Amino acid sequence: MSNIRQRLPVHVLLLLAGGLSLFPLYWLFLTSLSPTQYVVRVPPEIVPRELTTGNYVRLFETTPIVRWLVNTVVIAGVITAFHLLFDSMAGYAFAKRRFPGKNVMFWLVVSTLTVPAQVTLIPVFFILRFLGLLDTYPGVILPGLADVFGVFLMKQFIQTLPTELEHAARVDGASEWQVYRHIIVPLSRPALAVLAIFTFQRYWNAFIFPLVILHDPSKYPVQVGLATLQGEFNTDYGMLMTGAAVAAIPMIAVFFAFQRHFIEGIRIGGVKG
Amino acid sequence: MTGDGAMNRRRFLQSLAAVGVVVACGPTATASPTPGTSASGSPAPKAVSIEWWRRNYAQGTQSAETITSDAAVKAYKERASNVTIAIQGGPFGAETDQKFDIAILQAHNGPDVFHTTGGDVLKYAAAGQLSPPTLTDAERTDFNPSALNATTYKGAVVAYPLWIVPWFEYINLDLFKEGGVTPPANGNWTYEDFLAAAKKLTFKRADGKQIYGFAHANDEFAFMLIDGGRPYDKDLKTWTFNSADAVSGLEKWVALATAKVMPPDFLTLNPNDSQARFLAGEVAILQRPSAMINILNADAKWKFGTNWAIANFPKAKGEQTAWGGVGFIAVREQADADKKAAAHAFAKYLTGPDIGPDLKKQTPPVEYWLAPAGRKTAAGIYGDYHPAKATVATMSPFTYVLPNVRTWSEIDQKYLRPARDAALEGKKTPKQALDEVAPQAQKLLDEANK
Amino acid sequence: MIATEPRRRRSLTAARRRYGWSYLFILPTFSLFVVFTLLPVVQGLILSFQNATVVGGEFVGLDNFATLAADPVFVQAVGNTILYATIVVAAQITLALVVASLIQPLGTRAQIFYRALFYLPLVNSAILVAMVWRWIFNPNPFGLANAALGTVGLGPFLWIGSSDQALIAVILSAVLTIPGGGVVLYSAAMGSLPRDLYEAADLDGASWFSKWRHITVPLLRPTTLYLIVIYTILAFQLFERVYIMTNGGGPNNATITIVQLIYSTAFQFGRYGLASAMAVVLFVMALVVAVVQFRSLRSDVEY
Repeated sequence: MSNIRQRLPVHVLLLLAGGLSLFPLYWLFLTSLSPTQYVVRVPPEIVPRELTTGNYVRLFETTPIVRWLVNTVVIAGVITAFHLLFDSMAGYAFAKRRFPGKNVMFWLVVSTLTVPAQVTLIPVFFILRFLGLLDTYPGVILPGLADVFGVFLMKQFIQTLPTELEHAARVDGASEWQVYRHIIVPLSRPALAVLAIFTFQRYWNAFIFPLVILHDPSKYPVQVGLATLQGEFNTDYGMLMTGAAVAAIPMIAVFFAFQRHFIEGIRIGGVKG
Repeated sequence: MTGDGAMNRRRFLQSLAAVGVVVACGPTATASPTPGTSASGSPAPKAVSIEWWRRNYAQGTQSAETITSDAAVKAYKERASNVTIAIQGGPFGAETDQKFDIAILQAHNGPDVFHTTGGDVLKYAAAGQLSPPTLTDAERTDFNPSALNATTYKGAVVAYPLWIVPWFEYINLDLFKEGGVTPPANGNWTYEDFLAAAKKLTFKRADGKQIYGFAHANDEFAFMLIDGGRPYDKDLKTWTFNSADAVSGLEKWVALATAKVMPPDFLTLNPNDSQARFLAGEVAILQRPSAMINILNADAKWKFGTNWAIANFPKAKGEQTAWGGVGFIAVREQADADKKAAAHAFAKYLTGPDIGPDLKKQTPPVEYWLAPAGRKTAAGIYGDYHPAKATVATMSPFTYVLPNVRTWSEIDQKYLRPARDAALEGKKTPKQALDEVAPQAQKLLDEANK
Repeated sequence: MIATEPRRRRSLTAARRRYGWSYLFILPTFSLFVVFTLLPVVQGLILSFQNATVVGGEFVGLDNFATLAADPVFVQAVGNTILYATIVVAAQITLALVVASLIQPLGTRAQIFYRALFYLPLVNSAILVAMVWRWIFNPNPFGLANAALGTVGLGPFLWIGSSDQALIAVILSAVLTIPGGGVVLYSAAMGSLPRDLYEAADLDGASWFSKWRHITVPLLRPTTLYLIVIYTILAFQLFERVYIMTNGGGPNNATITIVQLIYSTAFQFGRYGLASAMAVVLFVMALVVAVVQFRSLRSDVEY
């Protein structure tokens, strides 16, 4: 079923749509490779006239970008890892298990998704101060673990898993934890992969919370660090774009690392070939 | 300042103190008399450490704020060796403002001395978080009077004016030549000359490139002052920005839009954009503050006097004044008297006449003043940095800084800017637009005065 | 398991044990949620009934809400937000579903390629993407949109430079981007759909469109519900894109949004009580919409 000629219009359509969406990313990399005086060129140029790696050299030499990247990998990585565990647990409970207060709790959780970060910023700051976690990595990580969109996502996915699998496992003598660990988790691999990608990206780009909670510049994650390249009197666009380009690379890597799970997810009742 | 021997000895003693060794030699730390030190110099100053918060300070980067701040701390160490200063920063922007606010207003904790701008300083004063400077008469007259006025809260000066950022016109001499317009003599011109020049300088080249006569960013409203209009009366009690003078000023501004001498996106140009247009040679006259000089100097293509020059803001009915914004150094009110005193001393140094020369003597020399100083005795060195800055330095004494009220930010963003936009777009007449927002502005003004 | 126990006690013990495990499963997330989300939200709710500012505050009942109702700028923000959300969410769900459906039947390598193609734009920081859209909708003739339209003879538009067109430009910037997250999620979900239903339909001679409409789309309801709720919430929280594209509220507040007002009211004007009231209004709006969405897309689909 992969007759190229039959699929040609589809391919053309997809390429056009994808191209338009990809344009900003292309622009980003283009700007990062352009000599500075062309960065704020008016009118802007789509086809590069001149390419140079000068911005990259300058970025690595004059800013602590490596440190920023390491910090961000640690923060986003830890948050993602814990989310994979906690969200699948909670998602499973909400999807498949019955317990008193379940609906209330679920609605509580989902409804607070509507509250923007600006509203919780100051109260969270004071809670962290009370706990003595200001200017620490846990202070940035813990609020990130309270983020509930992942629970919602896992619940939606897990609820589509056939219940007889769990029943069968229990009849065979599996404990509750084993049901979760050996039935639910493997079947949720595609959703977990998506969750990993989304979570990592969300916290990779975190800005306002780390900025307010962290004081020590050696702990800055990459978005906060890059923002310091925007001056009161002048902005170095070349460096800014280059920094953003460098920052984009780990996320691309994470995507490719996890996306193979979409295809490998084995399902009882049907295998997508 | 002192011979090498004394310097080394002082450093040696400092390092001993740092490892906790008690030095039994008595008051030896200030062996050398340092001229111009602050009022808090006592014979045996004890070690104090204070925290300085500086927007856009980012350790490890090369931003101007980072370089000048590090240099300032280094220089101050030589004058007051007992004071250790730690610098905190954050990228320039509203998020860092929040960080400052949370620390100062909510947590009552944080910097001992910090940078702030006109909009924020009164906010902090109203919350009782600022420790007012004690200025001698000589110092008081040394400061630009309208700058002091802008940091006066309920009759008391609450912060040290750091620098005044005057706004004026940058002109592209090449475009003036191309359009056949003579640049104003001595930089002075009337509004009529200015408008005529802008019209003549808006043309389309043979190759299709469109040149515009004038551009400005969306963060200012200079033209409303041009006929003498002012936001409030002298007591800051009555909103007067819909007076006949203010309306006629806005009409002069709208005339620029009607004559289409500005680029079509003039309503959305933020500072960076407007600067980029000028740099690209698309705009003949640009209205911006003094920081643009650094940007032009950084580009080898632009040579002051050859292809760009500075002109004054055009003159109409109002008295010719430069007008500007102002940055401050504020000291936080706190219980620790030693820290507070040290913070005041450091603040005086940062805003005073000594720091410029001190930093110039460092290797490599650092240009401390990013804009002309608020004090006359400190302003001169700014002019030494560059001939363009010399012109600008002469503007600061007569630069009029708009007086400040606590709710100005809200009045500006919620009411004044939309009114300005509506008038410039031609949706409302200037009088209509300004009259409509006057009652709300007055209400906010009343609230600030409560 | 233990067949000799009296039936009632066995089910009670088992039930308690099962409830115990349920609470254990949600404990980590929920406890963090209570501390770092619920408590702050409750605090915000309390604040909305006070006229809290930097100089203190006191209880004022529903005054803040009355002020908001009478504030034309806030009303405009609500209107802008609703208009934006309605158009953009519909577009995003449709685009994500269509694109994922187009990718699904392709070969493995093509699938990987296209998924990456549509996901990659998301790795860009939202701020920089907004800057690019700002260039695209620049009012000058060289603005990318104007330049493209100029090649077919359509005159330069003012886009973000006009209070009439600015919101349209913002909406277009959202609609013209294929939502990579949705494509990825739908792809993952589609990969899990059972083949047998499709095989049965093939035996009946169903067309590809019929299969898509009657098998795929209904089975994807849980994913659709998730996406529609999340996209609506994100649309209601529109802020950064507008802030960068139109320098805040745009000319004459044309593109002002609720979160923008919350931001400036709280952090620039210092009116925390009023800002909290705005957040409460936003919360109620989003909750009402979410309930409606849950009701309409409820499904007990299992496969």
